[in-house]
Amino acid sequence: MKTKIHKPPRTATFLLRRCFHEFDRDTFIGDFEEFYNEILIESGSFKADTWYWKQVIKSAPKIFSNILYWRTAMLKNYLKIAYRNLKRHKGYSIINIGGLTAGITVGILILLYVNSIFTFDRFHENSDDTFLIYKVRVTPSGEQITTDTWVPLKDELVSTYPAIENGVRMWGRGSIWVQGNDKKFQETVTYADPSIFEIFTFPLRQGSSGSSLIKNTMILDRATAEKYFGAENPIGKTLTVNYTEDYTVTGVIEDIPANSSINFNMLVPFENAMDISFVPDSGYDSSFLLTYIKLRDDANPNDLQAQFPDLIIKIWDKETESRTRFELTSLKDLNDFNSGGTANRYALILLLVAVSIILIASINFMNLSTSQSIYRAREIGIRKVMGAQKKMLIYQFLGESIFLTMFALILGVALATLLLPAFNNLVGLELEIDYFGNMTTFLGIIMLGLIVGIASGSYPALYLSRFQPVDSLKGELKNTNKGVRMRNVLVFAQFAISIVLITGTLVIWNQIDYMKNLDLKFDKENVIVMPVSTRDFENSNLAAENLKTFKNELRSTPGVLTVSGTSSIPGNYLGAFTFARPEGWDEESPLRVRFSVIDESYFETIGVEFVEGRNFDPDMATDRGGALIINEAMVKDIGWESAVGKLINSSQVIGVVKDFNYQSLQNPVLPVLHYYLGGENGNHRFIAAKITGDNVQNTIDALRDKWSSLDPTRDFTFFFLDDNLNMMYQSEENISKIVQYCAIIGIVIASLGLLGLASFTVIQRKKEIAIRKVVGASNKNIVGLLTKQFSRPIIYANLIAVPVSVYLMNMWLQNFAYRVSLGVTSFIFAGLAALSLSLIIVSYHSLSAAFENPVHSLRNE
Amino acid sequence: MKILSRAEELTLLSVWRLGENAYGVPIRKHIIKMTEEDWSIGAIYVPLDRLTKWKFLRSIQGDPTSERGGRSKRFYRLTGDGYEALQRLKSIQNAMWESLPELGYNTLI
Repeated sequence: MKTKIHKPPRTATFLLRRCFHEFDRDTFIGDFEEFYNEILIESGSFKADTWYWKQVIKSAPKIFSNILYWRTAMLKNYLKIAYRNLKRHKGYSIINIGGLTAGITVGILILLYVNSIFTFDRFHENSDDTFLIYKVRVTPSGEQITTDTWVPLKDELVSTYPAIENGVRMWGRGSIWVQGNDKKFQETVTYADPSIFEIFTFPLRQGSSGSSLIKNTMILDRATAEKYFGAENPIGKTLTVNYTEDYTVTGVIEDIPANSSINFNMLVPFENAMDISFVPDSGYDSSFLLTYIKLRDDANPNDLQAQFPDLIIKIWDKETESRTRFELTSLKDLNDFNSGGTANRYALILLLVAVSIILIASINFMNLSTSQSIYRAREIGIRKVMGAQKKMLIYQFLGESIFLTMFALILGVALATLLLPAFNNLVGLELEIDYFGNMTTFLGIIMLGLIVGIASGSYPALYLSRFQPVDSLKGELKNTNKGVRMRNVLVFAQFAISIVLITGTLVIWNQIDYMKNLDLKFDKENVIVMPVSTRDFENSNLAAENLKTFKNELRSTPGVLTVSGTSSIPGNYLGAFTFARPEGWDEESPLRVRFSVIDESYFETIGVEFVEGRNFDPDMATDRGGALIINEAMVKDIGWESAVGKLINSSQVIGVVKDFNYQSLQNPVLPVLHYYLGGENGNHRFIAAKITGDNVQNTIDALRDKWSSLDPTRDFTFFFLDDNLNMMYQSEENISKIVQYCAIIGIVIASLGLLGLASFTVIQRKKEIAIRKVVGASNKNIVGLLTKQFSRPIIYANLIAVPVSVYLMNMWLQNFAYRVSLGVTSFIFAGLAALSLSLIIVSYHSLSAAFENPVHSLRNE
Repeated sequence: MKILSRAEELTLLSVWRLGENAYGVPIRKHIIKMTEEDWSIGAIYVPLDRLTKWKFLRSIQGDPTSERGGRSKRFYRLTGDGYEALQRLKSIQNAMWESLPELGYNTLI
């Protein structure tokens, strides 16, 4: 009667199949097909399809409950077995979970850090379209990048280019005294256009934005508002800046996130800056502020950048255009830009380190679970005999490792939370773990757990599920050669990573040590620096008198050798540049060099030696404004044989000093020239005093006494020059500490894994060892046999780790103009450390195996 | 012993009636034909399942048939217990009917 069977929709059939237990799935599907065919014959395929699908949808609840039922039934068994195994092999379990926990903790902390670096400034809604404009000057000694721009540039840009929607000028005026509500603190006051709130995202807590930054008003951040007004409402209150400018507080912003490049405590309108005497109203003479622009959504920054040469010609001339470029950096890249391209690189290095640690922990897991497989062979055999398919076993073991990882994840999260404050200290950020408020964090951590679980569980799962039930039940399953080889490869990988980490730590240490102890060609020891200037006082004439007295008193203080007033000290050289046109200079463009304003005691105070010529002399009237002291680098750049007596910009060079490293050692010593200005003046920003170094505390107390007689309202602030210089290597120190901890964690995890593996191997080979002893092997032979097995992968690890570390560390060292050479000592040390550690670990087990009486091992045979 | 529900009763009767050919499709068709109402698949298979569990029916997996594309059928047979359950239900029903008074219009609402 029926000639042809029509098949119902496949997807539907697939789903329907899920409803039934395998046992009689086919009979039910067959019934359904028959119904389907009947409807098809009666009413056509559309009706039949609809009916069939309706059946499927109606069975959906059943499908789920079915899945759930069967899964939970097995799951209960899986969990029980997993728990029993954990309990039975406590040592392994502790190593496994401990390793994973350490890996996950490191992973969470570093991911948080990396996330905060990679999302720097992204909290601004317009971060895609906002750019900082900076200039690149082409000089004979390379390109100089500076970010300071001019008062009229913003308006010029906005009016010239339709692609630019808006712009804002920001000028941070540092170390200014601010008074109000009977309090007085030194602050950085930021002058900015009101458009700052249109371009950046700084939500207000109190007050209104837009209109609020009108003339003579001020916006504070929360912490500053509290500092001055405590719990009082700051709105409507007045603060006085630099003794002269009065501002009414009209708003308080929310605290700016820690990963923001743009920070301010006190915001006042840029309009007010125009009233300050030394701020030029217009023109392109003086550059001191930052200009940010916001492009229209559809604008292309590269197209805009290509138009800037015309703007430079318009503002200056063709000649300037040939040696100057304007470029844009996106707000998203600003942090990396500001750090000189190291921030993202360091974050990537740390990411790599975190991945390495997790890898080491995962490998431990793989090694220990596959080596332990002997103990589970019987279980696997029984499961297979009872009908478990390979797939189910894979799921089981994968599930087990994910379960273990999740357990480690919980421990890791707890540990990470505990360690976060210490970690924040280390990296200098305010990271927070917002587990539940932030979906990304939550999912990220869960994902981390899943990835680690799957990564470490997949190999053991495949390995274990391959066991043949006949072998495993007969008890004939030994560790196969293939398994042993794979484990050796994994041990090799672990140790290779650990050795790379150790060498990395050592090289970074060496480099920091080198930078701290390099002969900087000046004497950084025992120099006390007090940041103070006549500009900081209400009455600068009176202040000049006071400072003069203070300095004189310092000179007579026991323990103080010399006292100097200066605009810059090493580590804090001003970003002030001048155009120098030396005598006989026939290049079209002048040299752009940094300059500093010093008094006659400066070089003596910091111990800089002269190559030729003389120091400034206060008795020589011509020295003031008419004389210069330059450094060797400048002489070399100009190409002079001898500089003394030559003219630069109509000032005479009277002396040449050695190339002292006035900047971080990441940079080579660049040309710098020093002008003379004796006595007290607004150009000097520091008082530096060389002390004998005997009884330092007494000297400091004496200085503090003198200070309080000068101005009792202000705290005595000072720092030591060498401390200040060491601060420059903070980010290197931070990364070194993190890498160091990671190296330690990595080697500990790897060693624990090796310990587990060794003890296991010894148990496995117990009988073999006993027989060897019976037939005459000495203890030495036995120890040698076992040691060889374990030291081979570690020797190979060394062979691979060395070139990898050389490559990586060379890359890192490229950041520094002054760098250590990669000595062999670091590599030898790291290699020997790894090898001897592993030998100690292995020898414990191999010795105990060697000394065991063969009778104990063989009595069962 | 449980009293059968109507669906269970109809299912058992259909299985009995269909004899050798009692599997899901004809059972449902028979019930639909006799009751002249549409019965969903679930309305047949659920009682079949339950009745099998109570041992009123015995299920036998048939051989794969070519007409169903190699899929086998699940056949049902009435068991002794099932027969007894039907008899019991019938006698209860009879007893109930017989206990009624003479039906007249005055007793209807």
